[in-house]
Amino acid sequence: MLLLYIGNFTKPWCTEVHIKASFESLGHTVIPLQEGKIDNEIIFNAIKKHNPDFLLYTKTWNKEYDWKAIKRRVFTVSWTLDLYHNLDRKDQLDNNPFFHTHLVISPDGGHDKEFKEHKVHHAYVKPGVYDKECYIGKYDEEFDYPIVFVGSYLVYHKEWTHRKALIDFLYKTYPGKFECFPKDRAIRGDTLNNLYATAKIVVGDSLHSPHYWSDRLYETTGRGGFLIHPKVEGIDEEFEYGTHIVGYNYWDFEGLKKKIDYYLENEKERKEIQMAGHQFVKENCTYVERCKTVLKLINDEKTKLWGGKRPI
Amino acid sequence: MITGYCITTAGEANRYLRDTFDCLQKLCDEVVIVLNRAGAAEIALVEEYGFDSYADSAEWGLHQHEIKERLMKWLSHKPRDLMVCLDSDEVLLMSKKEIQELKGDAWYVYVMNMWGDGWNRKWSFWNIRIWRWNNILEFQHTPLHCGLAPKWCYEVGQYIPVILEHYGLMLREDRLKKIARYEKYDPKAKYKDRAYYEALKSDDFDHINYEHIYQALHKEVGKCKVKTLTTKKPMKYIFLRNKHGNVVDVPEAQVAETMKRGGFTIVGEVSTGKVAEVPTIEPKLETIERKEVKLDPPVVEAPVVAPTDPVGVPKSPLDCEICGFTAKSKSGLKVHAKRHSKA
Repeated sequence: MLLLYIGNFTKPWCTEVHIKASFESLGHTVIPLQEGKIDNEIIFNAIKKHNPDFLLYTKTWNKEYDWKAIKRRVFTVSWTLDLYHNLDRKDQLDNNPFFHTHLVISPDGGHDKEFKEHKVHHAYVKPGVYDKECYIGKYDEEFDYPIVFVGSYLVYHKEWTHRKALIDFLYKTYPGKFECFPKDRAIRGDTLNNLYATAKIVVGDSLHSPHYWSDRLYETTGRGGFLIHPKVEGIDEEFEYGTHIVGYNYWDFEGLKKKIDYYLENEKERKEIQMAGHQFVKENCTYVERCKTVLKLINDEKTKLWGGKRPI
Repeated sequence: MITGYCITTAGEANRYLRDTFDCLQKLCDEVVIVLNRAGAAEIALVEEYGFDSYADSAEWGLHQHEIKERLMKWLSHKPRDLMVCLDSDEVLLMSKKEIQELKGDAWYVYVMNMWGDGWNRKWSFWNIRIWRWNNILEFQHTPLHCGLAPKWCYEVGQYIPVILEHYGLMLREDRLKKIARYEKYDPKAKYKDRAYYEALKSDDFDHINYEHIYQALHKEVGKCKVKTLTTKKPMKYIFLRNKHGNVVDVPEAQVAETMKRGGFTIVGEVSTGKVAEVPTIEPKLETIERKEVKLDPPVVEAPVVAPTDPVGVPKSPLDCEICGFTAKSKSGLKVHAKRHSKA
């Protein structure tokens, strides 16, 4: 298959770069269209020149593309890793052309009805991790903490008060033993794998929405971290608590403390879960696997919407 | 050999003309564009695609059929075979091969009127967009609704399950402009039923499901029976030699007009097996309207629900306090607990 892909390909850590490489590893051809450097004319010409099977669009800031015209020329697919329902940005479901392509893929598996009400043709695909980043890193003194949190913690969705409460609790309960990352610089590449290999326990958080969780779940486990993550409806359909990850209930900080203390003390059991989680994600939850799912969805949807016939 | 033609005007280049040109380029070996008071952008686009073109500045709303007949004359300077005619905001969902394999003389396709975020079944209808050149080039003599193909095509056309997407009424502002145009040129609804014009005011649309539409069209085409011919009239052709020495065959009715252009001499005549057919074709639009293209339920505004505390999976007495695993029974929980060193 050949696909055009609008997104940001400027940095090796961009998700678009990972997804592009994953499609390519499956034998497909991906023509990247760099956001900010393209306009309608470039998109139209690329469609005409390459006659792609579909156009993949990762959300950019540029809303100026003529999506109606693009949709007449090619089957269009949006792919986001973010949650929109129940957040300030939910208005975008109506207003942003990103949500009105032929098929919108997101990790929000809990709002089928709402997507339909907003006329968004949505398909649920869980997030993943880049297969090339699934390896165990090296020890790094900088990250030698018993407990860490990795992700946004100073500025986050104001609707989600759990994160601040969680971090306050951990700092207060484990003074000198707990730290949040990144601190003063972004942590990417090998360094991030080193962090997960060094810190004993990673406490996770994900803005709650049924059947939605952040890609950090896959990133942490796939890149070799031991994760204690909130229990969200649907996670146990893919992971097994106590085998791949450990679960805690939102707002049950005393329960969380009990788990942290247990796994700090029981290194062997912690390491087993850490390695089993890493192996499971590496084998089942990479973007290569997600791309396979996405391609099947696209084929099905294209047949359903266009009767298998290419409109132009 | 497939020849495409299209009549375009100022402002179309910024709308859907590129879609139409893409389609014509894909389907046709040769394309002719009539520039009817077109602007620089349209001319530039024609040049970009490398199509033939000429200007005809007669007023569209009053002289449509004359503009089209002049185009036919322009086209008749050389032999033609299959013809594809599109408006500047139309896209024919068909391949070149499919056109080449058509049997017959003229073909109705289903004009799917794109409307808002979907399409409008009530405004969609059958119309001729493909026909085979036969030198009978007279159009219906009405200032509006005179068709894109010669009059005879509408009498002998066969129905094929092919969609033609029409984008010209997709936007509300375009529909309002069309209403204004009809009020100007057809204030008494002489050429179409008033209900046809009234329907333009509605913003209601049907959701697009190509599969359902194609299924409906296939069924519909099966029903459209072209009855046996009711009249047969052999057509007489006159052979003319032009100033270059080439011999062309021209229908008898058009000989006088052709001779006026000068440089022709009559060299002979022949009656062909071609016949003017007057079939009865049924049913048309009405039956398509009855098709069950299922619509989504009406939109209901989703209530805004902010996350409230506590959230997530509720705690259960069957939860393992160490790892969060939820057992199915108390005994299952006991068995599970054995895996933890100090549980």
